[in-house]
Amino acid sequence: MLRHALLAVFLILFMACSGPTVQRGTDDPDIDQTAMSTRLDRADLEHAMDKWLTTFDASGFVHNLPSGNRTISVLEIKNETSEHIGSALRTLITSVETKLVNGGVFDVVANDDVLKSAIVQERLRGDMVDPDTMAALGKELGVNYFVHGRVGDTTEKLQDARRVQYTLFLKVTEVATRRTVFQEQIDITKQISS
Amino acid sequence: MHRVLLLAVLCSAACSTYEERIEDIHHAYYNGTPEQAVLLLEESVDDSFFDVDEDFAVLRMELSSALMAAGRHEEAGRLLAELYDELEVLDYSTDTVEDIMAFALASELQDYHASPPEKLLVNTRGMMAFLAADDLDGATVEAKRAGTTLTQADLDDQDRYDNLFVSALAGFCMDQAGRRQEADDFWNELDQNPLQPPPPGQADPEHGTILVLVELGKAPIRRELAVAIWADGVRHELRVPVLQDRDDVFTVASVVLDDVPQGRVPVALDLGAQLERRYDQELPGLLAAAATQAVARGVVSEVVSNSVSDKGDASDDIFAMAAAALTSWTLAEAQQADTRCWNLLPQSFGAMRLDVPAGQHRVSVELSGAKGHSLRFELDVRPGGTHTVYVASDVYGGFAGHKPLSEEDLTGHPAAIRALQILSSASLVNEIVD
Repeated sequence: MLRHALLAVFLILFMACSGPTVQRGTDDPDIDQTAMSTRLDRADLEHAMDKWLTTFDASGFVHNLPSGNRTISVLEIKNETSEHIGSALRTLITSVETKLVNGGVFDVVANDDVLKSAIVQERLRGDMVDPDTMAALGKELGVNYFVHGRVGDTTEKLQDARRVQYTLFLKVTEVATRRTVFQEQIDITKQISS
Repeated sequence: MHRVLLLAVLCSAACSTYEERIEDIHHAYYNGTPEQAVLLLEESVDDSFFDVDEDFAVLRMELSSALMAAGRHEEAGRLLAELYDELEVLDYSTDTVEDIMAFALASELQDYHASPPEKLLVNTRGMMAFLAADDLDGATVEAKRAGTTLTQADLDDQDRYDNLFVSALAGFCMDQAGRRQEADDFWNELDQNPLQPPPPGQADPEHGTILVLVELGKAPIRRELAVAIWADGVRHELRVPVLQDRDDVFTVASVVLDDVPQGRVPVALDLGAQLERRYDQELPGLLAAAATQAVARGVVSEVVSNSVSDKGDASDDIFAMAAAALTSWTLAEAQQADTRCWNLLPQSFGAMRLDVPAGQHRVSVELSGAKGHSLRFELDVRPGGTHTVYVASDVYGGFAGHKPLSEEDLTGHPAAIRALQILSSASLVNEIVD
């Protein structure tokens, strides 16, 4: 009887003491690979970056880039999805900037400086990447090319599963001609089910 | 030893009702200290998370309301966005008897399940929170989600009509973000749009927009009530959640812009009326679930009673009889009605759009009803900018506790037919057990 009582006490103490488990990515890299939600995580952003860089670096635009006039800036990636991925897209903008800076091919004007521009500050409503705005920004900041894009989604739900298919379009617009000189489509699918 | 554990489990099963569990939060919120309500709710949510508590979702819905009232709009928006992803939906008005019985008889305590309009309300308040936080990107995401919910959720035509405010607000978010086509998609279905922009060509680029969002009164809440149903001379008592109105202190909100009266803020969504209509639809399902649990309770009590009488061991009799009595009492307590619902909601939402020249403006929102209260805001309106004034009037209304409820007799009520069929099956089940 006493043995049973002690066992019960130990069991209760064990249950009371077992708290949440915290893990570190450097100790267990697998935790970075597990998808936790239908939003975009680091693995998705790395996939998007890899896909974009591979085609961008190999593109005719980069290979035939004229000397001089190589100033570029990442303007905006519009979130047109039904997911709160704004912070992930801001991270993606910074990642693209980092790659462009480290690539050494372009002179990069930081996105932060673009957003501080009086032209952007005055245009609180509407499309920041319409041709007139880009032309005005290019003139003010001395930018020859703008990287910009949008991400849309198709969301479907069936019984206990919900799937979000993201389509990310990233393009480069030449300010002087307003032509799209490079464009890439990146597809990412996330699904959550119970 | 087993019996001690059985007693412990049975004792723990008997718990307080939802309204009792959040009474302190009601006091803090409605007596003008929403920050205190936030603290209490954060504590409850933390406890609930680590205990995998069945109140986790609904407590976070309450927390979003308290955060909004406390002016922490961005946090409220993020929380509501998470809730949209996580909320499970159960529709007592349309789900089959089998679904409802399975839910009522589940062996584990059930997580909170929202109704389809409640999930849509998460979107609506998400839009309001992000607009109040000056986060137009977040608001447009919620607007797009609202569009999905409106088309995909199991909403009947009346639900959609009741929620025209959602379409008006979603269109407003899209329009302010420069997504006019998507705005028109929302607005085209409206006969009257309280958030209509100036006609094309008349919009002044040097103007900005002030959106006044006011919550008035307190939405009815679910409380537990014992209802009686008589059949063949036998009285059956069921515990069901009933919808109870609450006292509305402020019933009218008026706006004054730069000392010029702008009139009353029109009611855009009568949430109280919507909740009452939904409740009437759900009542047959709620009674069926309560009857199902009552039948199950009767069967278990019968089995325990038989087991006690079969023992024939005098030394165990006192303990066994106490366990049987406790079983009966505990199962009765465990059959408590599920009164969980989003409590910190208003009776109605009002919305007013003001297009004003860029520059400094003073906006005051005058609340009237049983009491009067005035709130003043100073705004620096930028050209093309959107500025949201959000007022949760019920925070200033006070709270002295809930009104008492008295037993109701639902004999002959059309909603009781399905429950009576289930209760009448109890006698058949008892015969099988015997």
